Amino acid sequence: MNVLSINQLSMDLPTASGPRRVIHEVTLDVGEGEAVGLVGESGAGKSMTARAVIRLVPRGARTQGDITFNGTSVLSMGSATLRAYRRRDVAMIFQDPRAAINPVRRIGDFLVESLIDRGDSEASALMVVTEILESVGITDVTRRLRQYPHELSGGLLQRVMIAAALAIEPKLLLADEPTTALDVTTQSDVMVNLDTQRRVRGLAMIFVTHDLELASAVCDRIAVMYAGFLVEDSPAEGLHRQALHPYTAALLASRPSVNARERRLVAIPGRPLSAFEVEEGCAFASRCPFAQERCRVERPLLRTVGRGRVACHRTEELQGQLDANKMREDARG
Amino acid sequence: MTTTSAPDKIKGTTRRLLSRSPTSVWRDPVVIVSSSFIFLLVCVAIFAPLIARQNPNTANILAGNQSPSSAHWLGTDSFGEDLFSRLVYGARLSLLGPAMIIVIATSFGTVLAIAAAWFGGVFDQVVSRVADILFAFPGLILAMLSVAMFGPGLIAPVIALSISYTPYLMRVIRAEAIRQRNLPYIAACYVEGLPARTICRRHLLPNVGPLLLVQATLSFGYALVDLAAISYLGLGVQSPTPEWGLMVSTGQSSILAGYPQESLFAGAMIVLTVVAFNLLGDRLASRRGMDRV
Repeated sequence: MNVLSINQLSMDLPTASGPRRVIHEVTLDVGEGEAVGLVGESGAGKSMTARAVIRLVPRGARTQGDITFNGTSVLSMGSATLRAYRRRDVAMIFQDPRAAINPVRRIGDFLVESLIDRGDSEASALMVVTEILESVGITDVTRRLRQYPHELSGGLLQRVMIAAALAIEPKLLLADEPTTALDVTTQSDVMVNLDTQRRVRGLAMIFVTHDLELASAVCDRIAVMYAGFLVEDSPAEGLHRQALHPYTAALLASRPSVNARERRLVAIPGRPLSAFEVEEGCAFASRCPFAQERCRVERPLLRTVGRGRVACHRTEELQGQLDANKMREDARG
Repeated sequence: MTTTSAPDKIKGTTRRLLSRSPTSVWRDPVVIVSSSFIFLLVCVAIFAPLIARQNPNTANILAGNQSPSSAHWLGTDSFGEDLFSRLVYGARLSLLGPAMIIVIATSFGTVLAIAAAWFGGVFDQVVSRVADILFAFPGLILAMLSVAMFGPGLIAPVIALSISYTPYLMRVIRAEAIRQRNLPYIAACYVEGLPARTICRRHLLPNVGPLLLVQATLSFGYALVDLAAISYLGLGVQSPTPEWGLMVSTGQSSILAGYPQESLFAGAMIVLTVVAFNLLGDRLASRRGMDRV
């Protein structure tokens, strides 16, 4: 049973020179209790896709396709239904907790607000919030509740935001690069915490990140986006050995390895395309070492291959060559 | 030797940083002095009957234009009315007028600004263009028009000036509200499923609050001067009601006769009050890290 189905989702944003496409016909399902990592470079459309799930899109954005949550179409919800959906069913964790928490209100007010809005009494909301803060590893809760956001460290504040997301007992969690704004040591703490809580509560999650390794550590499936296209959707396990798309393999290869001392990092030649720059053919063709004439002319559609789905004409031929370690060695020559 | 050693420099920098650090606003002497002065004025206005030593409207033509004495601390005007008492009573209308203007203009301005920032699009365009049109219309001319329609007094100029101050406040607050509206914490409120009303009232409004305070304080000074000017022109409250702007005007004829005290003291009160409000507004503004608009 899928909690969330994104079906052929496209989005255009208005610009001075006419609408520009930022998402190209993305199709993605999230099962109950399943964590899906949405990975890609900046501008690949991963955040936009996640935001489209709660209709948090820029003014004037035009969406096509469909998003259904437990069988209900999200894109055609009226405002009251939409609010109820946001209030009950999904929660979002933002990238920068400093910016995403109202600076002039106390932590406690921030946390209980949505619960009271939902109809809880103040006392029961406080109890729920206290319990959840403790479960995400915050000590001295009574004091924290009375503090203002600027009095908390970034890591602590991100935990508060995670607590706020968990407090409404959603079925789906949208985490938009929740650790990017934190420093490295707190990153892992916060991530472990988020992962544990998610598993304990059996929540489905869309985890948006640049970090393929991190995503494969905490997610069941990885969806890779490039220039607004979903290019691959595979189980997280074993992605290293058998990526389906050359882009995924190249991304994995460009990560420094912990085991070997790197003299030079492997890079993907060229620069990432913006979604609107893609003409015909495969979006990645201009940078793909395996691209052929067909890739430049005919756009590959997402199709099921083995354990995952991929948008590449040559996946089958390339099996064995899309091993990250091997690519790294090849590049090192 | 004029060179300073590195540690000295560092110490100096630290001290500068510390002095600018966001400690309490009440440690700034300018804030203390100006706000105490304003507080004192408000007290004087409220408790005028207890402070004034004589009835401000008891005329005694025979004792006109007296110099300051123990009977009349600041002397008397040409009608022999006690100037100290008139200044004390004058604080009432002189402060009430601008206060009304600021309350009305900030209320309307804030509501319009937040609505414009929230809805954007056509609504924002309409509100902003109407504000532009009102901007082109001088407040004093509007006040004269208003007096011509409603007759002189306090209310007509207050209405007119409220109308002319609203777009000014609206525009400043709108810019800030738009900035705040695009910050992620507002998006987070959306995601929580909070109704727009709640987001505006509980999240957007408190965050434009500091700017609101600064603008209201600064505008108070301007409004006081504008109202005094209207009274001076004889379009505001009418003699013998004590009001500072009016006192500057009625004292004018005595200046030539060598008795400047009425105009002088009333003018001084206006200047002091406006300076106090401007200094306070200025300091609050610099604390917010922004320049006066």
